[in-house]
Amino acid sequence: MKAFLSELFKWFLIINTGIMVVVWLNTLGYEYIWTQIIPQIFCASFLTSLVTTIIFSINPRKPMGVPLRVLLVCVHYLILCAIIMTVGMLFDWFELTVKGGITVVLSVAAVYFLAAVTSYILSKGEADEMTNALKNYKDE
Amino acid sequence: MKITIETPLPGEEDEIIIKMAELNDEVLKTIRRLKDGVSKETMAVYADESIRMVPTKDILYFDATDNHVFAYTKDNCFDTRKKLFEIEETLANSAFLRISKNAIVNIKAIDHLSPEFNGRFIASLKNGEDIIISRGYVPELKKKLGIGK
Repeated sequence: MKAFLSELFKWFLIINTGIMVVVWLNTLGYEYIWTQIIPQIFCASFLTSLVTTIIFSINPRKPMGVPLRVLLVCVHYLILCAIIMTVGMLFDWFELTVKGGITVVLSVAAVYFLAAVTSYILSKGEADEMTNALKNYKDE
Repeated sequence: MKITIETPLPGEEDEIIIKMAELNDEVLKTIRRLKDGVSKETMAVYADESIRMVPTKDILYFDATDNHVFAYTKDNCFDTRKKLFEIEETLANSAFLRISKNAIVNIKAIDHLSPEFNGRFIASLKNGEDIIISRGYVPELKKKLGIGK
């Protein structure tokens, strides 16, 4: 449970930052933004982080092959699109039009990309640190 | 301490009798090792119906599949006929470490670690095999490597 909560917190921070960046880009043309958007972003970040943590908690026995990995990413991405679409309509972020739909799809893709790259960079540093420690462990 | 070894009569079962006023830890460990066929140095494993003693340093990892725990060496795979937690207990404080619900790895057999996009890690072993390290077991691995909290 502790590991799950820690992962949830990590994903929340990463996704929330990503959503903030995308919202900032989407609101560049506005003269003002409404204050309620901050808790609304937190809500969207929490829901998407929760789903992400649950999906990533599924532990396969062996490393996944590329086709399965691509399938998992697609399913995950579609679920996130559905969540943001629902939350966005509830909070009046956009209208249910083709343009609104495209905005969601592109925004989610941007956040997904940012989150994936950030997570990979963090994990890569951790993996390299452990590999170096492994060499010292073998020498002992 | 006096050690007596007798040859059993034909048809008689092999038997070890320990005569001691008080059993100490060392003797208890030896008894367990004899009963379980496992120690930090060697492990009794099963290939078909034969039993083999394999040096634990040659075991790359243990994997639990369908109620069987298999020991993987560079070239072979053996049934251990033991539970994963029993192996974990026996090999505690050695180079072996639990890395997921169903696997224990020999840290010295890991060539390098790489990240998975979802927060898990892949341990690439010296024999070219890749195994998954679950996120929940990473703190213990770091601790073992001397980089944990």
